[in-house]
Amino acid sequence: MTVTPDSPSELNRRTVLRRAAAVGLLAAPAFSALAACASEDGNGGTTGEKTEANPFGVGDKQPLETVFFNGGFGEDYAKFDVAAYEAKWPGSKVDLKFSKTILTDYQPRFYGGNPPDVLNNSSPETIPVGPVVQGGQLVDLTALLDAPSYDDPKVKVRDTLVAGVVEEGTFNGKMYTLNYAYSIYGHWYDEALFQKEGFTVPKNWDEFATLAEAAKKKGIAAYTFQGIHPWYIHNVITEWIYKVGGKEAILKIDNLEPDAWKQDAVKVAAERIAEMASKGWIQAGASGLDHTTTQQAVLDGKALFIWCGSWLEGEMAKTLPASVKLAVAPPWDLSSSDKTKYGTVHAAPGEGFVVPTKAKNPAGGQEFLRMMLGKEQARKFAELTKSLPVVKGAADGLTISSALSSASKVAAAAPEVINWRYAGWYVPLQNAVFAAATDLAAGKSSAAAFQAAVQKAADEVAKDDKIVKQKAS
Amino acid sequence: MSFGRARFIFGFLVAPIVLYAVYVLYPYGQTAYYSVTDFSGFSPDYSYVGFGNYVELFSDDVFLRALGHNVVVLTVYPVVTILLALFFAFMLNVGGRGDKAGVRGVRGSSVYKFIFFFPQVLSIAIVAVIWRRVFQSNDGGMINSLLMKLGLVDKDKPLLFLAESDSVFPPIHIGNFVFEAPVVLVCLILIAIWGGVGFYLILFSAAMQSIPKDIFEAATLDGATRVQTFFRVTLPLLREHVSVAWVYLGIAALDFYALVVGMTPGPGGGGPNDASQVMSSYMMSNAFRPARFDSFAFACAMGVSIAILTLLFAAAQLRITRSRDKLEF
Repeated sequence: MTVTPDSPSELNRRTVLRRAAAVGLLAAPAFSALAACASEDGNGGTTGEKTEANPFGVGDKQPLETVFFNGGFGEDYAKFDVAAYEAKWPGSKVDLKFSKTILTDYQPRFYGGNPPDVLNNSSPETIPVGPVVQGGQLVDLTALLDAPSYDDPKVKVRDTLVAGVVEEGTFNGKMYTLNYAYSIYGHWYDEALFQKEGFTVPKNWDEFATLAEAAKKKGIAAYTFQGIHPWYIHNVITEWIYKVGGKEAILKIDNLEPDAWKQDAVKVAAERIAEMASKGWIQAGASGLDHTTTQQAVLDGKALFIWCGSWLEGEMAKTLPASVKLAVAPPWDLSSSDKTKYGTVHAAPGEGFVVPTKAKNPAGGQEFLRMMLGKEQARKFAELTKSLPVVKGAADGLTISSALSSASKVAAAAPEVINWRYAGWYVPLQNAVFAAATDLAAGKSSAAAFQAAVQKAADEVAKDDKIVKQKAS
Repeated sequence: MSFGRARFIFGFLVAPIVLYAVYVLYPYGQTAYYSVTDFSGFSPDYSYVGFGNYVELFSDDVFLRALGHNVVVLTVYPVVTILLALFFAFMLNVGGRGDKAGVRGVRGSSVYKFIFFFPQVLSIAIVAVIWRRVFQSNDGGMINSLLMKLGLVDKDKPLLFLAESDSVFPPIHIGNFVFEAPVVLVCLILIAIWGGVGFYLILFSAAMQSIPKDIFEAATLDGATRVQTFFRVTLPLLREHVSVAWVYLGIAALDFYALVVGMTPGPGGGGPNDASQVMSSYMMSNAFRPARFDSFAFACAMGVSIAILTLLFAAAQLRITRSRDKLEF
């Protein structure tokens, strides 16, 4: 899941009414459009012949409609990709559209059965994959994975991708989403401040505790979190659970095993957050502040660490003082018996792309994605967006920014990569962790209460047969 | 009525009726229909499931909590707003000092009218930005910084306001139903009152100005105090306006959507920990952050329930306050 937090101020009655209208009203004309589409060819009539160079059989001069999310990654890489596609398929007019609200703008097109050929299904308004897959509306991208790669026909696309891309995009055992950007997450701090104050980055809980007390004497909070956007703190606690209990502990959680949240790893992680809150190491009032205010506190030297993704530098660029040198630290050891080594880091593919089955040119859509995973396109993505794509070695030799270099270094040195799936699969469970983890960090709750609240939600999800269950391994 | 005239009237009415039917009645019907299906909002394939969504609604903890919050808002918000608006309107129109002849408002009443009405012209987005600053939960917040300077609040323990889920009174449980007033909800009610008083002040002011001055003068000549004038003369003559205001405010209280989404923590608002969730915000998060494949239909059932509750409320309200005899002047 890529992240831009839901910003309350952007959601007002007008956008909501627009959404409601989009869903409710446009449905009427959609019926006829759907009928028209179904009578033509549900699968969009490809006319080209399937060859090694054209594995999906893209027809000559078939138009292609692409939709990109207009957010942190900007528009330039999309324009570059579209130009490249038009160059390869002369005469195939590519319609490039941008949207900031994918769900609002494209839900009616799914419902109406006339979706675009490539859709960048990005947050904060993501079309939930579950219901769409349920209706058979997304193309299974396994064929893309097994197609020859864009640059070398001997190598399959699958083998050009970094680890975790297939798993992250998988739903009901098939890959429907191609996540294109690779984000690295961790605790960010200002290296310049650490040097000035003589602080060192902690490697275990005792070092963190010493550092926190030292910082407190200087009036600096050791820790802060993006209060009103609970997505962030839910990442911290889940990362910590993985750190303490290893993949085994996370698998129990992802697979909704009984008492998964009663495990010791969960207890330790929750106790650590409760301890930070009770000892006054967390920025005062953080639970009521938004992401920019708390992130700014770190840039202003009022707090030492904040958990965030590798987009932090780009997000805060406007208010980033020149003296600040952002760097990222992997989670420190939380107990003496952590199952994973120090340096284990959380990284995951995000920024999904899907090809709808009812699109007019799904072959072109898959070809477009195959091309995006080509070396030249991937490298250009890294250059233009200062982020890593999921293509192996795409940014080798590029010097992009100090924060990204720091993140890449940490990721390269990691003995193990942290990731989990429950949050994307089970909204009610994620919501429960949102609420309970925020209470913990606000000092309003205990580890036991956290475990009980989340376990209750997990049990309810497990019981609910209207929630489609997934299996992590 | 001649044929030509009917055609004339029809010509004028056809456009609004078609618009109303297509953009209001049809979506209402659709929502009601979807509420008895397992519609996902994405796929045109769905089936009829009966009233299961409605049954589940009343065993859904969060929905019942949200309903409880609406009830709290419904009990507090209209009453306080109407009382304040009535008081201010009275002071601005007839509350002036009685040492001079005639009936007038307090000095500078037109300035006050402008100040009180001002919040009404602000969009809810601006209101949200302003009040988030006022309630900000650290030393950058207006109330917190003030209280910190006065030494009433510890710098390390600022008041959380919009992020505070504790109830101002111990929650009362009645079966599945919880009655509570979390701090965040109280903050929202305060903002709503601040925003609403101005409008009703203008409404009551206009009504008071239409009351002939000689009635007030007669009351004054008979030696009535301002309080007596208010309760014996003004209020009875404003009965209909107060009743209308009550219905409007009641409908607003059963909605309360914009403030919750604009001001409270969590994705789509309603936080912390559902402490500020109201029926409408919970409906929207079900529709657009679906937990299950049929969440959209569940949200439609919620929408229908809100509509029914609102209609019942309005009907009851109008019936209770229906004026028995209308005074002409």
